Amino acid sequence: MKRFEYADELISEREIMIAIPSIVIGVGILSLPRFLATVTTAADGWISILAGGVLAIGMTWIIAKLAASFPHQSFLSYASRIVTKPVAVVLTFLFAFFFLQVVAFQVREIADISKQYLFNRTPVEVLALVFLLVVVYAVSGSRAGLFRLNMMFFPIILFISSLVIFFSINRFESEHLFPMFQTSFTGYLKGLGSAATSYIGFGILWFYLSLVRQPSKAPKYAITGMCIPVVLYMVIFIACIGVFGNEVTQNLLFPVVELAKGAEIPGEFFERFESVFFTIWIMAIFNTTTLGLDISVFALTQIFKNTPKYTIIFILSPLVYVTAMYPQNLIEVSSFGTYIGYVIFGYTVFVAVLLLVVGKLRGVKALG
Amino acid sequence: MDNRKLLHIPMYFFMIMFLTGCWDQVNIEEHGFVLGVAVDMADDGPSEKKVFSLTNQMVSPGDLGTPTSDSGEEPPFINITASGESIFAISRNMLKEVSRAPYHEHLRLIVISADVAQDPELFASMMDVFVRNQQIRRGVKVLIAEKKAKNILEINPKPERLPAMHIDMITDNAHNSMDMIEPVTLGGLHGDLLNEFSYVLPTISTHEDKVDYNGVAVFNGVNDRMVGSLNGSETIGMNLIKGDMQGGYIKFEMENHSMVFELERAKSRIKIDSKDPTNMDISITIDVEGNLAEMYGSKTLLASSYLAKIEEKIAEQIEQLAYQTIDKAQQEYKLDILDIDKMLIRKHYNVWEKIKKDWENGENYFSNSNIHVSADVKVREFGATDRAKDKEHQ
Repeated sequence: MKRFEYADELISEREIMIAIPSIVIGVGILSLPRFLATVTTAADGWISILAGGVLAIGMTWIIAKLAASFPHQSFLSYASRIVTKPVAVVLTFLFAFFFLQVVAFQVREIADISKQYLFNRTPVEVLALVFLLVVVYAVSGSRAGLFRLNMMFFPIILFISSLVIFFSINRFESEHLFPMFQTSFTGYLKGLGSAATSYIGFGILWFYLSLVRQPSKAPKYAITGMCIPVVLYMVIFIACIGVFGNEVTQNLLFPVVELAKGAEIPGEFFERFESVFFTIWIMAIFNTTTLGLDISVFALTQIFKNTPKYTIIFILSPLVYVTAMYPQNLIEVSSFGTYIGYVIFGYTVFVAVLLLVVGKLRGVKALG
Repeated sequence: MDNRKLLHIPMYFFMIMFLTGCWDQVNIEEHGFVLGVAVDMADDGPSEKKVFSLTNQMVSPGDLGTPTSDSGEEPPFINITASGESIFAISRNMLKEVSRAPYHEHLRLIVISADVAQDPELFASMMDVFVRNQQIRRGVKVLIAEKKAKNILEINPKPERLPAMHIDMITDNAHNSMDMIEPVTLGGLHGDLLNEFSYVLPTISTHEDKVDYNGVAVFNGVNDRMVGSLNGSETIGMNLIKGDMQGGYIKFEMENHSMVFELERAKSRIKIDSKDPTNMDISITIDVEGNLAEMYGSKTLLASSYLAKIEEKIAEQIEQLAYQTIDKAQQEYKLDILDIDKMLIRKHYNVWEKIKKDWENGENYFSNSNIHVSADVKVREFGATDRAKDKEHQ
């Protein structure tokens, strides 16, 4: 039997469009409504989600434009041209480091949630290990294959999300949405922080854009992809507030899981809808995690050109596992998540600004 | 090369062990499906510490099948009661008595006795256990038992043979009568516990082998403690003011004849004049539509003047019901169970921000406010016939 080899490791613009929501939608949204409800009144949090989304879409566009102006060049090579090689190596290395932490966080969170709702007696360590092994297996394969997997999973994820929302409609109470626009400015700003950090992941464009066949078309597709989570998050947030009310949403650890748990399918022939939701959502988190790990691997292979990919993966996986197991309880896991969110968002913005400004100053060619 | 292949064989066996993936398996016949839970204060023992008892109603599947003979069979459920100082400890204690571990995923009903609900801090912390449990769904209904909650789960209903199922279905009939409120779910109650507004829970009582589901228990939203209750007719008044119902009837007298008005739709509009927050003017308009269902007189209904009189009479009746409830809420309980506070938040948020500390508590502006009710009744139909009897005397 001959292994099927993809003709090239290039991807289409549409695959980039799907990769963005695939990495963005992960465990963050499961608890995002709680953070937003604590700092805003009633359903006002949607404004923060929208504002954060606009910010993220803007960043996506800037990064995509910048990366697309160096077609088929790796991040390391075009960053080297702009800010010299040593600096570029440090930037690349930091990307690998931060994305590794995202992977660790996702692995830990999904293990915690599965333990809480599905496997009461299985230790978190085992759950995390099993999940991580599957992720490692996926990343070891072809990179183009990962994108195809995203393309396959993503519609299913969207479908199940809309199903959860659809079956929550009969429990939706519009009075929970009032009073509108009563949040203070600082409230919105705090909400913006949580919302913006839940969109992290658009940093993958720095790396994946070099794989796109027609880079010039990519920015348009990338921002279209970024719009998907923005809309999805707003709808999910409003559904949570409408169903539970602001106070309850503040106090539910994973409002979205509870939303799925309460979803009622007419006729009651199918209870426990959350089991289906979980299965699908694990696919969403799988997407996020594989892309995250792949970015780390991708970044490191650019630095260590002579080391085989497998060696890098085998070195990284135990690191991920240890980092994932490091937080001792839910509070630590959650603050770990918040910290990663801010760090990556800040870092991605920082790199974009740095490359833009230095590029302009030094007048590097082919800068759009 | 061959050696490597040989090595594969033990590896496959090893992998098969893990592929079964049954760390958490529990066979379905080993689950003790709990359908209803009742919480009471334990009768015995000196009460230095609060001891309460928990009753789990478990399905006994063997007895649930098609009944072969009508008499002498076992009821299809088992009620297991245990006492202790915390719900969690009690459930663990129960494991010593029952072979099957209680499984709450299919829980329908939580019944709390009134004396537990009246205790200063017991109620909220008890509900906390239920809300916290991931197995329990948020759609579970919560009821208050007037006397012993355990008795509610011991009735012998027909045709549903499981008391918990029976009650669960009865509560769903609420939209057809006015002295019941829509069932309150655990999720809804969670919200009530978290915010400071007063709320009501439906009450239930047993009457020989039947359950009586009407009236509500009134809870103070600040300390989450039951402070009193509304009877059937006061509940009608509350429902009319809150204004979301689809069915029910109102009996009234017309020239010494009883008549019954079947209510089809009731909507209420609440207008708040908040110029003086300490003494607000609240006017409630209740729009009611419905049919004449029963009449004992024999006057023609086709005369519009007579119909107008009937409508006026019904309106009077409705206003009276509403005022009775308002009186009770304002004077006796001093708690806003009419949800006027929620209206204030929606429409007069700035005023609310100023007075929220003194609405139901402190200065109690709620009791000070002037509430005016007016009802607007429309009789749409009166059945297929004008009169079914001969004219007697006119």
